[in-house]
Amino acid sequence: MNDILLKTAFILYLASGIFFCAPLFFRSNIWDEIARLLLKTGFILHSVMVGVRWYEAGRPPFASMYEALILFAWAVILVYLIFELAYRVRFLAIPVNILALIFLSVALPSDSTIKALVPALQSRWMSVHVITYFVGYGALSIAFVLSAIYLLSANQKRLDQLRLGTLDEITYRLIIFGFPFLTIGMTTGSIWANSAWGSYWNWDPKETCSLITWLVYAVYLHARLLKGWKHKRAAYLSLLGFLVTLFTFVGVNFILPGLHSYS
Amino acid sequence: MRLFKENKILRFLGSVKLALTLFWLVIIACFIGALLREEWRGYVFDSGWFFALLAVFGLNILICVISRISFVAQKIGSNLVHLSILLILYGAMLSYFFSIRGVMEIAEGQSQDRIMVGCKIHKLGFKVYLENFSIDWYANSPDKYEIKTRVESSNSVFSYKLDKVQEQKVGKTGYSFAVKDYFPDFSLDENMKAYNKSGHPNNPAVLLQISLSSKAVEERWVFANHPGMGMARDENIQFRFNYQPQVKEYRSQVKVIDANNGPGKNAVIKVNSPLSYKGYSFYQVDYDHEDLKFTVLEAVNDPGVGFVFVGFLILNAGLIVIFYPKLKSASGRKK
Repeated sequence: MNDILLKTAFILYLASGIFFCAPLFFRSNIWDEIARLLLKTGFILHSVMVGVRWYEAGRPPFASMYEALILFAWAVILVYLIFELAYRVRFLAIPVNILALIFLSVALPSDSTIKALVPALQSRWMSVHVITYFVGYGALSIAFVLSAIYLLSANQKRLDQLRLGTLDEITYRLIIFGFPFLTIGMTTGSIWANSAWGSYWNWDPKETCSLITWLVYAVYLHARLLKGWKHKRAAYLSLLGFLVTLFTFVGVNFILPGLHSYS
Repeated sequence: MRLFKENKILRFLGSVKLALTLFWLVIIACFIGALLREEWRGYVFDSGWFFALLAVFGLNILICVISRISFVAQKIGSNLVHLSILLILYGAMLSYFFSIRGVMEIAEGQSQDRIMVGCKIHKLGFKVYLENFSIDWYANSPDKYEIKTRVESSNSVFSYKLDKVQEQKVGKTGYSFAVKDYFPDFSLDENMKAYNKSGHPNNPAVLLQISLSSKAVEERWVFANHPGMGMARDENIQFRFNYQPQVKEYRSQVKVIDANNGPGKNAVIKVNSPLSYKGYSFYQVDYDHEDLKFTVLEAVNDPGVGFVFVGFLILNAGLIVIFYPKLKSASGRKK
């Protein structure tokens, strides 16, 4: 059932992406509306899938790369829906759709067996630590895509200053939305580490890289709020921040073994 | 406040420019530390220059907070965040210099009243008595089945890690096999029929479906604890099943015996569920993998942890106070 739910959600996201591209060829608002409806229906099925897997596994479904990628895609769409509701930034739907499809394309062919949890992972802190991190990652990944679009458009002079300014502003808002979640994720992880290993900080590579990620975004916020860094310089920092995030999320597991080797 | 504005050194020490430089230096130092092997990480994270860097960082935050302190609503969040970082750094310093931590190994029915801290013995002032140590195992099948196979005719040995039902060709010998079933506690009933006695991995066995040139040859039980016991129809191919049971949970049922404090305290220590007593926390960190009657606990007395956790709470509260109004203020404007 889980597999069917996820595949259906993937197909709906894919169909939504196709309908989002339709206005390039046909002039009508209906395509956009259909695309959004498909995206939202896909998100509901995606959420149900996460809930069903949680129930089946008898634990939060965040213990393998398969589960993490599914959660990542879910968080990206969740952040988009919150931003659409708050700021009516409907243009975000396309990059968000692409991001979700990328994450799910990697997740779908990977090993989906429900893994048993090692004792250290059996903690009530797991849910809050992982969910807050992924909501943060979701916001920062959309900020990354917007920064990339900003830099490409600014360099090729494809967008006017007003639209570039909007991109810059929304990127900033995504980062100030994601940063507190990143902080909650890091601090709850530290409290959890203390109850599992007797030490709240071990300079384990995953911990250290998560601190680096936090520091890079702290630089972004200080530079923007106190030094007036905006536009290109801010976009480059946002790119760097997400590259470090990606390294912390995936790279560390393969390159730098440590206490978090199971994640 | 005027002093901070007029004195050049203080102004520099509390400047945003210095803060940004320190941010990058800490980032670079952390990155180098993360790349190093575990035994070399101390060259960064335990080094004097790293402490000095963090101390300057703390000083920068302190001067920044004092010189710009303001009680207007917009500044509350920023003040909270910067003060929380100072509190976290202070707690971390206390933890690093003054915490006591050491491992204690206790056998069932025995007690321990001391820990080894580095090369020194540290007396706790009370005894920890181990009443019972127990392990729960996962009853479900392993993630991967580790199977070794030897083909006598070609004198070749192969090792595989398989998922269930995944057919595996044995080199170019013509043989192939798949794991058809798994019993953690294999047993035979009165009719000599195989059945699974319990969920505990007392006698793990896999049922292999063996084929030769794509034709099914036989089904064979292979036992992890008794490698030579499987009934083989085709003796040209031999299998070995390496089973690593996965631990679900392990726990120590202990009693704290304190001569100065009445009847003592009973507790069960598990991973993620430590015991706290008289400033010490006892963590379940390991056990003797050969003799399952020995537990390994870590006793920690950390005077900094409370400061750090309060710092975390203030940090998160401060960030929400700073950013929530900024997010809310623009809500509904963008189109």
